[in-house]
Amino acid sequence: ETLTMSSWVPPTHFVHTDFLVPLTEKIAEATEGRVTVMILPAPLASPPQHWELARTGVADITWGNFTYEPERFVSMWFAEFPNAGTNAEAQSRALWQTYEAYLADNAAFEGVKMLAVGMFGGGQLHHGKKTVTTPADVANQKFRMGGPIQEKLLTALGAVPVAAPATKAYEMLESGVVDGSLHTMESVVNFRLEDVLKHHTVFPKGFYDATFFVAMNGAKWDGLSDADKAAIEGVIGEELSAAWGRNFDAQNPAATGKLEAAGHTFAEATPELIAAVDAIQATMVADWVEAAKAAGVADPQAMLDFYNTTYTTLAGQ
Amino acid sequence: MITGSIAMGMAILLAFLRVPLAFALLAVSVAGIGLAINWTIAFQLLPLTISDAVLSYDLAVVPMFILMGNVISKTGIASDLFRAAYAFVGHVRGGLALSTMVACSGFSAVCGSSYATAATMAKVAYPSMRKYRYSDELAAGTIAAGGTLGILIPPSIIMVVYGILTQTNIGDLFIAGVVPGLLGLGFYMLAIRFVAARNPEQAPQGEKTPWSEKVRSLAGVWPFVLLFGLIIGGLYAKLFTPTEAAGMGAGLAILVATLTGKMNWSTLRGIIVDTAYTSVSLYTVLFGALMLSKLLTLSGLAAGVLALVQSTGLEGTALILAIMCVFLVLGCVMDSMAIILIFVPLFAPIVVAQGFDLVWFGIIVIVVTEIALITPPVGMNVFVLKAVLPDVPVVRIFRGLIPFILVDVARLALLIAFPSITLWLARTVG
Amino acid sequence: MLSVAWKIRRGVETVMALFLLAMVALTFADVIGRRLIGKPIYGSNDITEHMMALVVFAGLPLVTAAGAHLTIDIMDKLVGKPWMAWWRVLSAALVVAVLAVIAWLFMRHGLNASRISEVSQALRVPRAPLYFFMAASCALSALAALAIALTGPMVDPTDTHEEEAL
Ligand code: NA
Ligand code: NA
Repeated sequence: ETLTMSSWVPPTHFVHTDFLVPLTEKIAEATEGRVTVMILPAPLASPPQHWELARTGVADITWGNFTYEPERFVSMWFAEFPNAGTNAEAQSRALWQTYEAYLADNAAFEGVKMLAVGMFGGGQLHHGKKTVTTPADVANQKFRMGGPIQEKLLTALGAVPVAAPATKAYEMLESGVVDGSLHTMESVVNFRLEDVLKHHTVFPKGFYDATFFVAMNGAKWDGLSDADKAAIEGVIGEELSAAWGRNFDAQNPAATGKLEAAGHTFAEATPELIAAVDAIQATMVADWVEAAKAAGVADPQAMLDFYNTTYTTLAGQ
Repeated sequence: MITGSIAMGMAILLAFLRVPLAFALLAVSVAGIGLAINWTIAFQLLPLTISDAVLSYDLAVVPMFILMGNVISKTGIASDLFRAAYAFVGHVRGGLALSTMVACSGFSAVCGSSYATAATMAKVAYPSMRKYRYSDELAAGTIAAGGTLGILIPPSIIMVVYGILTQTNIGDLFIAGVVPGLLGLGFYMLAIRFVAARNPEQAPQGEKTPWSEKVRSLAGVWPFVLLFGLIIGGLYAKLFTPTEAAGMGAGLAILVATLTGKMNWSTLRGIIVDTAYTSVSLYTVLFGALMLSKLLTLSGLAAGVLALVQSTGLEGTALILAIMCVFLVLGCVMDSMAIILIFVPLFAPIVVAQGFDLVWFGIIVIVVTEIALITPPVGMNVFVLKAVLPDVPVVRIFRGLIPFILVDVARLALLIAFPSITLWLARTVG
Repeated sequence: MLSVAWKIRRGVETVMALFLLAMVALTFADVIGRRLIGKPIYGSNDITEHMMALVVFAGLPLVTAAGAHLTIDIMDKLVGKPWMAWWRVLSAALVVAVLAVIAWLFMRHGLNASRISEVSQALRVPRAPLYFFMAASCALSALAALAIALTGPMVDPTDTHEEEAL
């Protein structure tokens, strides 16, 4: 059986070469060639539609970002708040365990077989012209960003959020539409923003994060033979989530090294700025606990604590 | 693969039998996906595809480019442009045709469409050429050929569509179009000089304009210079992005036309309503083309053609030449927009697989489809001209276009042989 | 009856014109706000996208009624022949069917969008009402296509809407 996969990054992107292609190989190997996955030459819809593509079976397997659909996966928001960590493998494993323990039965995830979840090891704040370390530095600066959590974070810091996908970052920075942009270190390099983002503000526990899924159509999964299901189970779940994270753990330091070699400024956020972010995070959590209860999570605080404990344990190893 | 090929054939057949292009594409691709894969997928993809397209910011700038061109073409700014060009080069042999060509490229710099460029310049320049007893061949040929510059010199609606279909940066495409566009202007002027030298009776000399008159003619050009300067200056000074340039340009054109007393609400309303109608039909065609590209992806036709090309052993420039020949032949019978919409999604993956630059490929595809606009039997620019100048026989226009088609082919060869002509400016600026 | 149709058409045209003008004004306000006071309009691209969607689907029934969809007319003479009448009926039926199917699919799409709380990226405007509007537009267009198949296109002798801007 051949499964189709829709992916929305170019075939040269490391998610394609170092994560999706190896996944197709692992599935073929585990099932001894009975199940193969074909990555389609072009995406079947825009990135925010990729969950729907898998849920409705237009493509059998897709991947994407949970908050590209800003109000759909409320229960996942906690992992995108500040201070979610910088070890992507530990984050992704912890998020998978949290998903399994607290969210697998949540109605928002109905209709798909979750193959992996992942995070990207902490996004940071980047500026084109000046070093940004204090709350005063951030205030009134325009930053490109995506998603409801980044918007709240920037607004609360007194900055001006401008919503646009990362692919638009270059022309926006170049033409002064924004002064800075929110990215992981790897995406500064992978979106070729080295020339327009020269100052990098480092938050030791991460300024914000992103949550990702790799999902398969539920009916298609149910239709596989028990032997194939068992074989595929061996290569997905926590192990696949960890593989997702490991890619970012390899990419981020390499990008940092490259940017340092190019003479970029790296500055750690001052304690005042970190304290301001911590205060915002506390209100975000409080608001989210209520929202998550409405979205069907019985004890959101317990889920968040479980994620934090698991992450700390895994990252400490 | 087979479904994909049949579907493409069906779509083209239906379109030729006068089913509106959008509906031919939509019907065939939905039915194709339904029959080849399943109907659930076909019916899920259709609303997803339409809503993705209609809610795309990149595409939303197209109507604003159309609006800018419409405002300029219907408010007399274009005729001032022609008058100034004529004051300067009108007196040399073939001078009227040369000044028409210069005015065409100037107009192209503020208008994204070839048809609008040809139609506008026909109204503006043809009466003068007739007055000075230019041959219909040279007069109409010049305008039809000059009009094609509209889609190559930025802004360009076709470039936006190409950028969306291939996920190429639209700003890069715009910059890459500049040098090939100016090269086109140079080649066309050479062609005019050649015709004028060989058949002096086709291109009588005009009167020499005194310097005082030349200076006065420049005064009429200021709205154009202002617009052009603000758009290019705004981009250069990084006041706004290439996509925002559409809205800024349309707004400035409306402001300039209103302030110079060339437009009132009723004219403006007419111009905007025209723009809206054109935009709606463009959007619907694009819905169809995007669905067809989904069918190509899902049916394996894209992958199949790729494998087929690999099996022929065609590589590199030979492959590009083969693709260009296909486009030239298609261009004889199809409109440039239709060619881009239907065939670019099929060929782009092959071109990428061969390691070619999609910006460069976009430019040469646009040059090829420019030729399509002026080759018989279906040359859309010729038909546009025919609608504006009903008493000129189509055959004479096509005959007049022969020298221009020849230099177009030469330019295409040059652009294929030396990709740096196209990419140099983009690399320097970007 | 016909004059009512014309009045509606003029009204919708004015609304479309105002939306397009508003898109232009929005770009201006965004660029100027950003340059002069450092405050861009949050979600301006998002607003533009919504206005464009409204223009396109407000215009679809009008373009359909005017018979102004892009057509390749190289074989006009052949298709216009009396013995090709069956084909003209068939192709009109095809247009009506496609529009009706799209209307039905957007109805479903809108229901699904409200179920999954689909909202726009920046401003989080719910998508379902827009999808229902698109469904209604396609349904009207299907009716318009049916009507002009019977009576001929609704052409305004004073403005021709030449397809010269593509
Ligand atoms: Na142009
Ligand atoms: Na042609």
